[in-house]
Amino acid sequence: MEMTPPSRRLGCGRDIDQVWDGIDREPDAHERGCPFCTAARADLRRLQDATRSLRQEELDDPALEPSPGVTERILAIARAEVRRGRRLPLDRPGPDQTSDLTVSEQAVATVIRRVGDRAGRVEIRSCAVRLVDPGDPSLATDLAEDAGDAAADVPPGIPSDVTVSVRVSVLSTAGNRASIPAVVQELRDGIIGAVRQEVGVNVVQVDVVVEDVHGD
Amino acid sequence: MTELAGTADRAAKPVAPDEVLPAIAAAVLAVPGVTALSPTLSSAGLRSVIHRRATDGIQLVTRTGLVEVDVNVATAGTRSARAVAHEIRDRVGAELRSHGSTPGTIAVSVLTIGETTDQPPLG
Repeated sequence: MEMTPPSRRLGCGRDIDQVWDGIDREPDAHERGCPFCTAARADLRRLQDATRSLRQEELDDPALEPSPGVTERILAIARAEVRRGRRLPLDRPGPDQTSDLTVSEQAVATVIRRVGDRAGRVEIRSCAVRLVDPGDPSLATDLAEDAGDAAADVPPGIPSDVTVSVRVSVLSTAGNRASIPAVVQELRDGIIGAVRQEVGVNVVQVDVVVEDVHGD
Repeated sequence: MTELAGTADRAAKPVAPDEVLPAIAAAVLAVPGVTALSPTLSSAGLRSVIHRRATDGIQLVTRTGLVEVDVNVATAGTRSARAVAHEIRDRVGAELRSHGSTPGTIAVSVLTIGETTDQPPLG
């Protein structure tokens, strides 16, 4: 099975290069209904427009011709930027406040994907992270110390609450028969712990959908 | 400071004395858990990609006498992004005050955790 490197995948699992390859055509059925691809296409369009503008400036003024390797740098940064997605507040903002400290949705998704990689028999195909509305009493916690219990490195304030949704594929072989409930529970615990430790926000809900189980 | 496309409005005056921006970059990179500054196209513009600088990833502007700072970083994952972001904000504020400036909003974004930053080396 050919795997797309995690660093090139959008939250829906699609390779950013695949979206870029189709930027000049109409969006396909998946892209039309996918918020990750819709946002990525919009960002890539802006990059395309900016690149065209820069190219025109170079034609007008040859002194502006970029050095070799600049295209590679532009594409590297563009790929990274498009993948990063939304920025989530690290501290729970108060009413009508915005948080000045944020983390990219992609960074959180990467932490979550690594949990699956470490588990060995789980491939996380897609991952979505959503901020919990502090006004939602069914999900929001009020435990300022909760996220800090695991370490003494506790900043002031209340960390944000997030929910995580993942779609996974589970490897179950003759020598390593998987109990789906056990795998899901292990994955859920791993995600909560990793996000708390590496990101510092509270995961208040993890939805896991096992899309398929495959063997040798 | 010449490249603030997308961040500075007409009322905002870029300020980046040569000694302040490198000092702030050094303060950010000295925070445990920070692995790199992360330049962004939207904040710095395409020009910054062509003419890379060691301080890319940090933008400063002054608004009504306050110095506002936007910092984008990658972290190692060995320490929580939240703890790192808080310490960056504290250190940048202290650095500005030590240079006689009054800090305004100091925004910190952790763009990458525990992996390479997709950024080719300077050069």
